Amino acid sequence: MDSHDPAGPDSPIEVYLDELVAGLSTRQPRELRHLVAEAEAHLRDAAAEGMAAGLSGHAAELAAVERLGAASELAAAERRRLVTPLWALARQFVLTAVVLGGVGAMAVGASGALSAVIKGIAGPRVVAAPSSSQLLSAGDCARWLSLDPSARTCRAAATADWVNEVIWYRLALGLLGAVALTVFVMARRRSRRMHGWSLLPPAISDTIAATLFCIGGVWTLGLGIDAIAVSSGDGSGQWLSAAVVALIAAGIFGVRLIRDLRPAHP
Amino acid sequence: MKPERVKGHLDLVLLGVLSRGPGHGYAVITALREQSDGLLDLTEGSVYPALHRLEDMGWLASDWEPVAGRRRRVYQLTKAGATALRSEQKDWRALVSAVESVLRPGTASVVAT
Repeated sequence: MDSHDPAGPDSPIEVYLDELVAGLSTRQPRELRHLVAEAEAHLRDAAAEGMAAGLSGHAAELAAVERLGAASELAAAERRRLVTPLWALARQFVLTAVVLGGVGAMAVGASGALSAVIKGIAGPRVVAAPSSSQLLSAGDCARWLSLDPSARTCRAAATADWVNEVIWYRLALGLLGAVALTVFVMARRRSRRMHGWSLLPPAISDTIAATLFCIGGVWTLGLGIDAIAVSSGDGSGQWLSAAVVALIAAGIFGVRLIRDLRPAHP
Repeated sequence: MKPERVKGHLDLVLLGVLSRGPGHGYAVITALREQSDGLLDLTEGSVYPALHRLEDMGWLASDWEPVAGRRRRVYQLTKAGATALRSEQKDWRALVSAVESVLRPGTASVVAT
């Protein structure tokens, strides 16, 4: 009768798992636990197959361990996989900056569209206008009036020019962001080489995005409120449109971040 | 076949096995051996880092499930993995075709005499 104890000190599988644990970094305990559990399941399956084929318990375990290869090699291969080289980290950082930059540009574009809606509802002065105390030079007035000959005053011409800049420059930036993101996604889908290029982990990129959008949102909200308090609302639309879009984006990235940080299998 | 020869195509064969359905590491290795009539008999320890790397790349996803009384990490092909497999298969067929063309008997001599 086979007196082999599969959990005993002389069990080849137990010795192998000990070597595997010793060879792996404990800085990533979950990776370590998962690899050991996976290797143990594999070895027990292989040993059971060997025993079913007529080997003794000890011989079946030895055969299973031999087929899996040296524990030190498996541990070394896993260590290589888990350590991200600096150049790969730099590439992840740049790609994440490109993607977040594209999303940010699209958000600016959305605020341009919202500014156009505000202009339609509340009039152009609410979007952008020179303050009553602001001195406008003769040269600037001439340029604004030449751009808008129908304007009756320099201030009206300046307002029209500024509003157009707020709306169209933002829309142009949004379009640029959308094109950049589309090109990036298409290139990543089509190029096998680029397909393996990863971004920073979602929790990091979502933290960056949520923080930046939150700061931008609060900052522009403050400027909008200031414009309402100081200039009777003139020029507040350009800031409030940006604040609304930025705070919505911050909310979306915040929800994503919460999902990132709450694992599906606690 | 020597394991080193398979090594360069390990991603392709692993994705190929998992394209037939989810499986844990031991089942994948067994399927590889059986489906190739024992020709693809790898060092089993090389399969796990490869599976983990493919998961890092987003080509595989894994989940822990109890199978036959043991807790096992079960891998399955993702949508991106299926796309990558098609691309790898295309490359593989092109390589096989190119090598066969060179090895085919009666191929015109290009060696200067």
